[in-house]
Amino acid sequence: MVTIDEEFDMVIKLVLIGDTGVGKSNLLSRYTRDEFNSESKTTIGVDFATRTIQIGKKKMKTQIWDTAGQERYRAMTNAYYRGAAGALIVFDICSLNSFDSIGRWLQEIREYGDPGVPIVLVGNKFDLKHLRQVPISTAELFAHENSLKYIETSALLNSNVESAFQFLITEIINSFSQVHKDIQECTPLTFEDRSDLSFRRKCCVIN
Amino acid sequence: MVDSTNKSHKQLHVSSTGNAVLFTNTGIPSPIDLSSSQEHCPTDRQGSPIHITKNFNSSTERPINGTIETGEQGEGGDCNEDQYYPFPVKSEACIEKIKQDWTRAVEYLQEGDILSKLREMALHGELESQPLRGIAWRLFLGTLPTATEDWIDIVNKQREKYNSDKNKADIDPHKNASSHPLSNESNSAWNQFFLDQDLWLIVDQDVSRTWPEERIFTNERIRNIMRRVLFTYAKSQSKVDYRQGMHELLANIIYMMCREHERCPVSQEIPEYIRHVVDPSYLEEDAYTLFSELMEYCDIWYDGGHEEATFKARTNIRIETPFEKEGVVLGLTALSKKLNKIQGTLLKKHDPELSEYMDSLELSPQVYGIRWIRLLFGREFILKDILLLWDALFAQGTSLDLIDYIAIAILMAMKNSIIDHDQGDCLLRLMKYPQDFPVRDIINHALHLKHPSWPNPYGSIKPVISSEKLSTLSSPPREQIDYANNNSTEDPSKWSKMKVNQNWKSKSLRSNTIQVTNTQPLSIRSKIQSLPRPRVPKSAHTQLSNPLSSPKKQSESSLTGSNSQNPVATKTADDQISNLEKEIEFLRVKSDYCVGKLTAYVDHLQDIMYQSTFATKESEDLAYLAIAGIKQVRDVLKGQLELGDSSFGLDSNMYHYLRESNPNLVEDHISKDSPPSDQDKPPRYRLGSKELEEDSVDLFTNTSPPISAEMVEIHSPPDPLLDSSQDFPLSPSHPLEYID
Repeated sequence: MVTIDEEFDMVIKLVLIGDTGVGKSNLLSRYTRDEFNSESKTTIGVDFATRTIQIGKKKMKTQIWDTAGQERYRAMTNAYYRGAAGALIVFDICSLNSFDSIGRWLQEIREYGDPGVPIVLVGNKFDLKHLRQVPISTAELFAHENSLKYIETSALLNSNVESAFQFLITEIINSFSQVHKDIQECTPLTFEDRSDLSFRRKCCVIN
Repeated sequence: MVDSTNKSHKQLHVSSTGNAVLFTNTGIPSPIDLSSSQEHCPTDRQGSPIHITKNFNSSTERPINGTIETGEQGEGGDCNEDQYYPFPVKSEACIEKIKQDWTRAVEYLQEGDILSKLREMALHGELESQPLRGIAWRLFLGTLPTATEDWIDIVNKQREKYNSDKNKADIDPHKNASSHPLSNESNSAWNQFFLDQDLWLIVDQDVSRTWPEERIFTNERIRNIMRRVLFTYAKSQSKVDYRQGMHELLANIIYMMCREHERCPVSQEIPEYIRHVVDPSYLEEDAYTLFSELMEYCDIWYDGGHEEATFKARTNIRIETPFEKEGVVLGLTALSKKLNKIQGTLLKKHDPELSEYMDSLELSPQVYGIRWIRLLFGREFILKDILLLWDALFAQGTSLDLIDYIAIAILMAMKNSIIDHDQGDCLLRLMKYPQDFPVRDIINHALHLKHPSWPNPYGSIKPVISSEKLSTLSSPPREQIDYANNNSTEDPSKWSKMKVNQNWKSKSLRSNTIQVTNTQPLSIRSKIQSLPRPRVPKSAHTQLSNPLSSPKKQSESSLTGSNSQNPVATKTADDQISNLEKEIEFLRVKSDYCVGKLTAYVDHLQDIMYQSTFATKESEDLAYLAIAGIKQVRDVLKGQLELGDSSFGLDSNMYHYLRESNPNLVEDHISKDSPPSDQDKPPRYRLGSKELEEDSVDLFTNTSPPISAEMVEIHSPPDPLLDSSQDFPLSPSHPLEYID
């Protein structure tokens, strides 16, 4: 859902999905409040935060919905995915289980979300590289096969978190402006720090 | 992983009741020996397990018989005060104070009906200062009977049950020679063992993230207790798996118990049965018992229904459900239904404006409400306040239906930060509820919404409760609370309590004149007077004197009492009123209890029926009709459905009674002259209960709003069942009548 608002040029809804404990809530708090809490409580139901960003000349409000990893039932999924303009599927690079669940999350968003909604696959906790269970190549291959973008983040180190969201938002706006020509005035999109988008190489260097 | 080097043996003392009591070598009864290092699954930052050692049984510190071998209690360990947290060494004065508190409490309890006394205290927020909260919760939830002489036996059995559940829960595949670790059989011991590891992992992860700001939950002993209790619960109760959120319910119970244990009776003068119940060495067992009992009433809100719904969505099998509205896919969970009812019906009734606005924003209650209900508002208040809230919640019966009204009270309290704000802002407010909102006001308002005779804390409706109660109840309005910047009073983000108050006042004044609902206290009275006098528990007639309240409070209350009214003239009337109030309360509690049981049994029955195949279509129809009938009876009991509105109709006796007891209501219906044309007639009740009808309204499309019995009463065209032109007895309308 991309809405044109009086106050904002655009309001978009993003959703964060993935298994419990992969760090979704911390990605959210890092992105919206620049906070990290290693002892954050388990999300029950849904959490929600917003952030206003500037893209080119456009002011945009992002509504980010963060769901409990264990929360998977119909009443919720409907409200949750309805109108989502993009999704971040998060897994923990130290947990093979959380990576194995990606397929199921993907299926769910494709089932309940709008068709063709842009999705970015996020491997979180890359600061814990000594505990890595999911090789980059495996994740990249999976992303490639499912036409997703892949990025690795660390909410703790505040690394690539911005990029992950920006990357998703770029995708959304690009696909949106193809439909609505009037928005095209803000294309080509330029984030203030474009170099951030070279995240993949960055990950490789770190690891 | 198991560190066996510093194990110590402990001495087992058998108390006079034959119970094993563990004493450590310092002579202090050891609450629970939790070997912190050996059981703790080491986690890195962020709680990622490095590896999992589910050393489950190492903590069988207190076998019922046999030797006591405990985990690690190395040198100095016993003296470490932190290890005994939350049981720090108490000062003399402190011990004396505890002793006095308990003596008073016990005296108070020994006269009259414990349960109603504790209820009274709980509703008035008086358990906070007393050592009786744990006992009260046990009685409210039903883990202890009112007969104190049975307590010791029952508690012993409960503790044994936990230990046996715990032992059963821990499957050791090594003992099962026939099972192979690589076996593909789904029910092999090894397979179960691996599944258990996964469960342990999730439990561990949640436990490590429980109330990180509370010191007690950073204590590894407490964490281990939680891990074992949750694991045992998940393994022994086949109804629901472990779900996130349960851990916080348990945590709050443990927190309450630890506070209780801090004040555990040290004096021999305290009756044995009480000392036995609040024995700190059984924290784990008792927490399990109370938690399991609480989950009996809460587990339906954790029941996902997901698998079923997804299965149906994926396989495209549409299983017709009776009472289900067209177009709604099966799989609305009990939680969803409850939330729909709260926002769709209750809020509409009590604050139509707010309800309409929230509907217009398409705010689905599931988004903010899941957490509210699952955790019983456990994230919306600070811990201390949560306990106060739970006091009232549990005291109101195990159906826990005060929840609905608490939710409404919260929503109404936040009205100003919802109205005129956009969806995002509203959601932010609803999910980041300002925790310093006075919890007593919320509780009192919820109680007032549920029972209009309860005084409104915001004072807009004249309370009808006795003045004695009033003095303890009406809390003065708080100072203005500003949750945002102070720059401008017009700032929409400003969250002003005073504004809310004024708003409510004007609202209810207006509604007093037009809404039938506000005459309810009166109509209840008239109903009670015309009813044959119900059997009233002995206690209901005992004088309401609370020896537990401080002298100051008592004098205050008597002061206010005599100032506000002429004591001589009003005393007898007040007594009568207070007795009647108690009768009503008793009847209500009884019917609440029955409603809870009815709901549970009907749900079970329905579940079984869904899965069963019937011999003939007719027998199936009949069975479902019977269920529908039972549900209507329940709704009548609940007060959500007027007798006249039920599909089973009225017989002449009931009709005459209704007319006598509440002539206005019936006259209203009768005096309306033009009977509705069939097209205009709202399909009031579909086959089945009202609740199902409400729930089947699609919350997302926001189309036809559900019709509540109350709404019907006020706004709907006259009920054909009450039309005076018809002869009595009425033939019951066919429940299928309104089905499209």
